[in-house]
Amino acid sequence: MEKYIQPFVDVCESVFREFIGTELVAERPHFADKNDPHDWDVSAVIGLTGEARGAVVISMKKQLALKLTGVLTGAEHPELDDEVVDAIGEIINIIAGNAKRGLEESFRLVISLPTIVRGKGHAILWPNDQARIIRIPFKIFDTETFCLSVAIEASAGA
Amino acid sequence: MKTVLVVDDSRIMRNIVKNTFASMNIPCQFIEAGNGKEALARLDEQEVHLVLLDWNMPELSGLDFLKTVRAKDKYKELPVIMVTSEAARYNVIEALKNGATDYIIKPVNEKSFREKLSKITI
Amino acid sequence: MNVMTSGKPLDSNTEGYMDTLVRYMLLNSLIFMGGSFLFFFGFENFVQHEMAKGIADIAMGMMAFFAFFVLRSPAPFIVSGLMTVIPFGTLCAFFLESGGAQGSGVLWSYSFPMMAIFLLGMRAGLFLSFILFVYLGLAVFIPGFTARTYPLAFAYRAISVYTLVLAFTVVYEQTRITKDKWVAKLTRALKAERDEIATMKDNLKTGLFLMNRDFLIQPLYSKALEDVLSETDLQGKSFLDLLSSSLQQKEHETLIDYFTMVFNRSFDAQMLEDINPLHQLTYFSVSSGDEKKLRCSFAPIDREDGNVYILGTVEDVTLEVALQKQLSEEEGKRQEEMRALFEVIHVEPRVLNDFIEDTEYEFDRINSILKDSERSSQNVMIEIYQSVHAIKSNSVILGLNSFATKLHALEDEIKDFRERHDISFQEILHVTVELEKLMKIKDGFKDLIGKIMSFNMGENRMQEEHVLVQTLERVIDKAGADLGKKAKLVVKGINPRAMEYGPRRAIKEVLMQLVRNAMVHGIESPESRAANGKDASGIIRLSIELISDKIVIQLTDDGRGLDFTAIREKAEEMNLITDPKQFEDRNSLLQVLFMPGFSTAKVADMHAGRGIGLNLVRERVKELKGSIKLQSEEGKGTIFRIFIPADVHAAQGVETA
Repeated sequence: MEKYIQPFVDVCESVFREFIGTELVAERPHFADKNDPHDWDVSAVIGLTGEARGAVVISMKKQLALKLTGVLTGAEHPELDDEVVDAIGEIINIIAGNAKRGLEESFRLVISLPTIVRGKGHAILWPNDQARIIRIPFKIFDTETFCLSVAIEASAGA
Repeated sequence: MKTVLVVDDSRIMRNIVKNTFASMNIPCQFIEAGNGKEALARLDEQEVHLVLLDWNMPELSGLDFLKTVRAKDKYKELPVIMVTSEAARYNVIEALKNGATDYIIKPVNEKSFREKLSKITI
Repeated sequence: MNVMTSGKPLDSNTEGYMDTLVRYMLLNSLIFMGGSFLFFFGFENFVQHEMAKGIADIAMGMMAFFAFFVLRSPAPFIVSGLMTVIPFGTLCAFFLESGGAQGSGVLWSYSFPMMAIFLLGMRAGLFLSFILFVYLGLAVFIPGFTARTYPLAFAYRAISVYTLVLAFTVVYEQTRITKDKWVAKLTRALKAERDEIATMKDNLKTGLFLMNRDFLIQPLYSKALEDVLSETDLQGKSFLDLLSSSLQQKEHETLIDYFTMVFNRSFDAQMLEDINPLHQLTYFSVSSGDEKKLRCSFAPIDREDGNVYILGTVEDVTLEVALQKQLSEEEGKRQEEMRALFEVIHVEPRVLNDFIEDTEYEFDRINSILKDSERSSQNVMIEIYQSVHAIKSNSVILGLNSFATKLHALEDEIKDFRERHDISFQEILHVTVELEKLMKIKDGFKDLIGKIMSFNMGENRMQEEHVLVQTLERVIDKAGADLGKKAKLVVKGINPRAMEYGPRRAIKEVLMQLVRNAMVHGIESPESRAANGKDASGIIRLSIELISDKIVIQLTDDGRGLDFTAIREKAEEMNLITDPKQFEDRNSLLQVLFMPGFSTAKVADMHAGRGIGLNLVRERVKELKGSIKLQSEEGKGTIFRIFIPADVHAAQGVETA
């Protein structure tokens, strides 16, 4: 699984560095249960199929989403409106796109277009049964955090 | 009654070979040697009809034993079967080149012994 | 040559090539000779003032030479053929007419049938010859027809010989035509056969070739050979040289020996194939560096030139080999899975359940440590290591060797991290991922338990104490089997309320560790015990009591007691004691026993030796706000006493899966 995760981590770091102009600090990974309650405000789900099945989810709170949108559009947004969602979507698209290149070449994987979910306590649909997620928190802008959650398992017969 | 000379530095191996051979119910007697030098000595002492020869031995190796034996006229026709492990398969060609009559791969079993023996006459 | 063939480009592959060539050469020779003669006779006539004859001769001569040029033109052969033969025929008739010297003019006619038929073909030639035949007949039989009169006898002979010449010429020509047809048919058949063989050879997927005694590849080899060897222009190349990137020196020599055996037919075909060193070869092309797996086989062939060649076949089996490897890997994995499953099934479900709970507890502990951002990565690794070790020990005891091996592997990886300050994100991620895999396996156990439990619904619930005792007995048995020692667990008494009020898990952990230590370091081998007048089987006594508000656990063994010398040595070696006075003080040495990393065992293995055994015990007891007392007598045994405050309110129920 590691071989799939590391590229995502690397891509997140490079994308944020190049497009947002900020450094990420990857913190210690730990485990979480899919059914655990969370208090993220918006999540982007990138599905993976092929020789492995699962998803990579990037979640953050409203505050960070607004801040990122501010950096990208230059305008202030008071609420998590459609434009904010679009902006976040953009960033995630770039991340997915870059990760796609590396992963699809090296492995028999297909990466889907990200879907954005929002709202407090929003439900994230994971495409496989395993309950456990590996969560990697990232520190950004010194005080904010977002997290990369991964649940991937090798496909049967892969 | 034919005499079979079993040459191997491992007593266990010698026993295994003897037992396998014996299970074929061919009437013969066995003499043993733990290395090439001893084997040569045994050959001179009595008439031997077949030699089962291990490859890696101290004092005188299987290969050297073979060369020495084939150099002597009276042993030119003596059947010598080389006993070797799968890993040392590449030695077989060298053995055959130097006069081994045939070879057999460990673990030895009755079937492969029979096959090899059927090709030579003791 | 060009002159003789009139510069005609003749394709040597067409049928009748020879035929046409000969004709041209014949005609050209006739032109030169005949023409020259005619010119000569013409001049002779001029000299003799026979002007008319002279002119006629010259004219014909010129016609002949004219024919020469016509022959070189695109005009059909027959044209110049006629242009030459007819004058020649006329020449013959002329000689017949004039009689020639001594009547020798007749002789010219005998050359005509051959010329006519060879040059103009059967029909035209025969026709013209017939005309001359008639003219001859007239000339010799009818007096006065020509200037000369021939006696009758001469006439008969003249006409007979002509007929003879004509007949033979016809027969010869016909035979030749038939023969040519037959040869052409044969050639066609041979060509067809050759084409068929070439088609087969070039469409073979296998490389096929002949090799001579010098190991040189012969010209006719299958096209596939070039593909398989990734080389071109193989004719005349040494097969051995082509393998130079693929074989070591020794292998190269062995191969030469092998080929020699094949050439000499030293052994039967079966044997030769058995010892074939190229039965499977990892091949590197000398020119392109392509890597493939090849299968080669060789057989001796005798050829018509009396020499022995080797017929070699080379096949590309790269895919086959890869598939085989994949299959055996999968097979290996499946067997491994089966083995793991068997191991799990052999554990009593209750005990397994217990194990799962403990393992989950450890994983939760690990997770909270991971989440704790206050801790340094190094500290995290130390803690994770402990938990992994604990789970591993339990697995070993239950005989879950497959699981234990994986844990041991992770332990090995983490071991080094404990010393480092600079652990990278990647390394932590790796450990996390590996932990996840282990958790998955644990989940698998849980599923299995679920399935089994639903079968065992009616069974009496085993009580806590029994689970504990059984677990400890297993520890003793396993350690005993591995170390060649014997010991028995004697339970002096376990107060069930002590178990209820006490932290079951911690107690179990501590006891397991102590029991294992007792087996490894305390109880001696049966021989040693006998030598000291003890029973061959050692005794480990356990009691768990509730005394006022404390849980008192006592574990005694009748082994050799603590080896203070070894402890002292090791402490020295590991620099665990700085104050030399403390070397003599037993109490200080006892303290040392409980330090992390301390172990008198030489090599870490599944049972003991990583040195955290007693440290773990101390940690756990400390966590529970308890204390340890230790007594030892050399040769007699060791007593561990552990005091843990009982928490009456924290009575714990037995959890079911």
